[in-house]
Amino acid sequence: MESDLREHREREGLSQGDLAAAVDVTRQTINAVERGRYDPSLELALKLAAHFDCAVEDLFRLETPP
Amino acid sequence: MTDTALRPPLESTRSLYVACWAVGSVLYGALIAAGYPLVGVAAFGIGAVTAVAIGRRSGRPTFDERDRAVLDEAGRHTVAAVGMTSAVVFPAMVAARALGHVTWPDWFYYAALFIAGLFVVWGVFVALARVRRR
Repeated sequence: MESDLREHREREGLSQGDLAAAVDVTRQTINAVERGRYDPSLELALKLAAHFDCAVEDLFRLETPP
Repeated sequence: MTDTALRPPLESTRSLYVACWAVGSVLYGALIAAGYPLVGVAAFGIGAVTAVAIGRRSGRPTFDERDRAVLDEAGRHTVAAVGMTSAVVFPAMVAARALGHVTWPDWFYYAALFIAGLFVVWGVFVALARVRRR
């Protein structure tokens, strides 16, 4: 899965720790999601979308095949 | 400032929780080895109670979803490794004993029983999980 989470976070001037606290996960989880190492659950994806006031599809999308 | 900013980061609670279990467990083993089994049990109990208290005091889950995913993955690999090893080693040993090539030490018999019991427990939890998700 590809993610625009880092762009959204940096646009709002949030650190990974700030965002982690806002959605009740660890900073490592936010870092792993941003780096594509961990696909968030639907619940976390919805929380992140709600935090940035956007749709889940604005944050995450399926990887485009090569 | 939101209330989330006032709470300690989740990873701090998690680190404290794990540290309490780790210290309690190490003291448990060390004190038993040193000849103080009851003190070891007490140290383990204190570590466990402190860890649980820290988890409850935070008022939220100690581990987040990625932690749980990591634990799930480790559990899957453990079950697969123990299962595949058992599927090779135990039948091979039974055949070798039947052919008179080896004799089983006592510990091997108990290890076989333990692993069989482990997979019975695993099977029960698989069945329960399937029922819950119907």
